[in-house]
Amino acid sequence: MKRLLPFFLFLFVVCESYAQHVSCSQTLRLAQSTYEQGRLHEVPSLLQGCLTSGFNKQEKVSAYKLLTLSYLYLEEPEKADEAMLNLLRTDPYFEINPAVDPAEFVGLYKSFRTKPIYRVGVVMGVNATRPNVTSSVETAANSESEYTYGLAFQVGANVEIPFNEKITFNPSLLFQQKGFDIESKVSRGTDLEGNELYNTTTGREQQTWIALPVTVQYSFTKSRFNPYIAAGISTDYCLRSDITIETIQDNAGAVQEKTVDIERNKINLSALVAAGGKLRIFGGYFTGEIRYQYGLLNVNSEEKAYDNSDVVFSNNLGDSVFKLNSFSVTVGYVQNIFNPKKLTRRK
Amino acid sequence: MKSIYAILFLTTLVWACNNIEDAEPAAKNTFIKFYHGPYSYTSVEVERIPDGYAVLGNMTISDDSVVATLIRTDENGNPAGEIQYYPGCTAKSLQVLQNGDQVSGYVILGDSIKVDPNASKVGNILVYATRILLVNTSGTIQSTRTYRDDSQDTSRVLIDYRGNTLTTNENNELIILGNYREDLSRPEKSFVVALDFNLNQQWYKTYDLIDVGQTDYNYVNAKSIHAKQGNLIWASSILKSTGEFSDSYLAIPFVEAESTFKNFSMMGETSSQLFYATDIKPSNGPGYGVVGTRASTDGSNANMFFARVDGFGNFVAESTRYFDGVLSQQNEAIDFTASESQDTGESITSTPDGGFVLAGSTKIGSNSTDIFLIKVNSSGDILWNKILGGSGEETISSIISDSDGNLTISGTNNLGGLSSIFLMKTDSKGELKN
Repeated sequence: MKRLLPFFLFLFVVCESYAQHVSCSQTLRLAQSTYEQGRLHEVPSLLQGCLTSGFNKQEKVSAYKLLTLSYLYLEEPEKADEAMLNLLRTDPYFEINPAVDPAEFVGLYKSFRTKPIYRVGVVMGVNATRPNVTSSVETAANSESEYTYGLAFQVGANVEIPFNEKITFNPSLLFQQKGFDIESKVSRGTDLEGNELYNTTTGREQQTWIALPVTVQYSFTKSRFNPYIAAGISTDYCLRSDITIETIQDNAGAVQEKTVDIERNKINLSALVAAGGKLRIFGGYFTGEIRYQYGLLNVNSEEKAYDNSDVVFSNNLGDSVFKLNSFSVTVGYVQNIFNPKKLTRRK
Repeated sequence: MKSIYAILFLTTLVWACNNIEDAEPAAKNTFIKFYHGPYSYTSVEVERIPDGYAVLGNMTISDDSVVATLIRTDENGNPAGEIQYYPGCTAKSLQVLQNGDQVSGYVILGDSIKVDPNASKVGNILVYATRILLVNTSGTIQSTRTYRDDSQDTSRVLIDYRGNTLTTNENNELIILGNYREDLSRPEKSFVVALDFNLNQQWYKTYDLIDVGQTDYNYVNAKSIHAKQGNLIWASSILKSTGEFSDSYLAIPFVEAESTFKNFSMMGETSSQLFYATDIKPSNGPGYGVVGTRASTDGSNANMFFARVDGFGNFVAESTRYFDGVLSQQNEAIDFTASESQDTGESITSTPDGGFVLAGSTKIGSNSTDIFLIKVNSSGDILWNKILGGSGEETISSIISDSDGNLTISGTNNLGGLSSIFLMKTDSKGELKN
């Protein structure tokens, strides 16, 4: 018998709460009926208990709406404000229906801040980065070198602060990996058999950045996908950078692949343009964005072009001065954060 | 129209220079350049020319096929014109001939090696000849002169002549220093020959060590000879090899042109060691600076050394300093017995402040050989040192300084069995930053 005691206890709790819920549902219908009969004074006391405990969310919203209307008609504006505030706190997405709702209720609703004050979420994606060479530092005579895009991932936190329907301020904090490839071919002329000989150096530079991009979004239209364009600036901090490099020499031994740290300027600044969209989902938005980042500052300097003597002497590769440009494609989710309150009108 | 503007805007936005060659060269006063050929290049010497540099080297096609190579560059080390090859000559030294501010030609000193595997005498299987090439500004050979033993007598060993270095004197003569050996069992001796600028011989003189009583020792001459006021000075190592051991001391032959020794200052002649003088250069004050290598007789415990000699070739007392790639990193000279790395001194240049920069190499532990630079003041006290290099073997052939103290260094970089020539211009502190 003792073994069954927890089971009976659990059964009792379930039955009790179901009974309470059924009871509160009846209370809501009773309150609605009481309101419709004009016995407005009785509505608050009827709902009080179940508002504390017993209503589900939808019932709670209906109860607060009923309470707000009751206070409005009882000409108790402070209590009506309090009920409206509780309504909006219970369901920040509550929307009025001007065609059905009483004008007083609509008016009161509009006197409250009902929009989200900001959104917060996460974002992740891939970027393709390539240097934009501003001055060349060539160490090998008769060489041709080219940088090509490399893919890397990025992840971070995203904040959106809507200024109005059209304009949204969008700062983020991103952890970014960036990478790109270099190939340098040195022509060594022809051997006695007439074969063209080359030294081919291939390398991949990988960088880790903490980025603080700040953009301003402009929304075109309010639709299912809420398209927008954005522009801004990003301040980035380089955590580390290294290059994995090897050199193949025709008719001779190779310079084995190795990875060496390479120094980059710690701070970088970039201009951003972006286009994206937001799909309403759950209590926020699923976001998708394509962004182009145009480097404004060099990430290295002429002064340090030969600092990595191992790469210079072993791979005959100087460090040309460049800025970083990158495309990124990201997806994310931002949750609306509300803080409803009575708006104070400026005199 | 709006769409065209939009496309133009976006094109401008995403435009980037991806080819390094398409970008403007960095505005740097320093540089490092590597020159690669189809076969291994080795550096011999760099000389300043009005608009850049002339780099002399060798391209080794095979053990018995070495081709002298002349690379002319602009101020930034970029090749200016085609690289010139001179088959049948192993380059040893370069002299730029100038007419005012213009280069009028180049003289290349080298060796020509005749191989005869069927020679009846072992000493005639390889016979060396000294070869001098007069080359015009476009790199074409204008004239040649060869010093070789042309005897048809197969019953005797032919004399080997090897060129060492050359310079010019006040009489517009080319002064050429070399070695000759009459027989494999006999020591190498020095010869000096003077030529006019058309390579016609003016005089020829041999120098051996009979005067100093050591006839079984070889001259191993350094890479420079200097002519001043009718006198010639160079640096030599007087070497005696016995099996795997070599014993040598330093000597500064100071001779009157076409005459005999005026001085023969020695150092280390009473002790046992391996002393190699590799370069001697005039200082910006009186006298000369000498650089080289000092090691035990088995070649171990090698250190770079520096010594001063006066205008008559006398070693200046207390001027000798020794440097080690590990022990001198805190800018300290060391005792010659202390050594934690294998170091060599290869070239020296005087600097406008009265000091010198010594260039050589260091090999620390199992690492590869790297470039080792040391700046000393006029007294030989070390001011700074620098080690540069990568995973390959870097060795120095020569260093020169300009009037601002900037340094230009040529050398050889060996990677995976293939070597290239490098040319490096640094600031006065050996830095590549400016």
